[in-house]
Amino acid sequence: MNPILYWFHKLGSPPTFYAFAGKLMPWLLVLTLISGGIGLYWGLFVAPADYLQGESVRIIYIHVPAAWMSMAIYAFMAVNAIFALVWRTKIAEILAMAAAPIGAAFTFITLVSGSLWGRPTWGTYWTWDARLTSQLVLLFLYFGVIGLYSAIEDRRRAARAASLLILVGVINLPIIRYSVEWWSTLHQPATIRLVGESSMHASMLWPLLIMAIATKFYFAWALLARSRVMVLRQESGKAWVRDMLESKEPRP
Amino acid sequence: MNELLSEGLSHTPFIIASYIVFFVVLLADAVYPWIARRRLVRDLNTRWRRERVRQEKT
Repeated sequence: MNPILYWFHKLGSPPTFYAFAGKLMPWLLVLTLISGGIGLYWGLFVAPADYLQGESVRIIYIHVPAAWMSMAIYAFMAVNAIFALVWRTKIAEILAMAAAPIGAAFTFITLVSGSLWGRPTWGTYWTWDARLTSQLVLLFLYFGVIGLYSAIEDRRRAARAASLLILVGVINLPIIRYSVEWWSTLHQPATIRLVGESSMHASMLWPLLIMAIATKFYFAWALLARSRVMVLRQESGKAWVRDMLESKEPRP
Repeated sequence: MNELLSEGLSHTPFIIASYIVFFVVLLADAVYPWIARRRLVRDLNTRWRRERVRQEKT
């Protein structure tokens, strides 16, 4: 077997995943704090004010990375949902369910920070604009996944039912992404492009990108922290959990 | 920072509120697994202790 494939296969085992996540987490936390610290300092104290938006542009250093994360996490959940439904991988079920509250947190931050940016810039906290509405639908989708998973007692059946809902909700991702192009919206079109030149000056773009990296590190850390608790709960009847918790060593 | 406090004074409450929401939500999200793990470990230890006592009696 290919060594990389074998490693991934091994990682699918709950005890291996638990131990691996425990080793990775401190590094992810350090990377989150370093990149987040640099990004926030740059965005708040070094980057210039925008000639149109003024100082309120500083909200984008948390709003845009949170918005990207809200969509990226849902896509991550969808990939894991496929693994959970097709191959019935236990770790994929856990990862998909553990990601949902983090995704909901980022979506909530996106909506609130966007609303707080909108008041001084647009003159209103909220408008039923296509981008804002589709983002609100995303928050409800996250709540739906969390609610459905909590409503069914059998954890594995609950994860599979919630995975199905995740896959149905994927349709909302292109709607969010292209809403500013498909409909006439108050929300401005994308200013940062993966292909082609971004319409944002480098002095503002860099802190934004660093914050985007920081939120990704945070997500990885928070995901592993939540997944480890879920693994422990689901495997609580197994000998390895009992041996680990009853031994002097808190972690294997 | 000086510009933030002078020219953009009217925007400052919105900026501060946004960053407070950002930190409070992520902090709550970060603390939850730590609390949940502690509670779970305590519950499991209690359960196993009860099982041991029951086994010793029988």
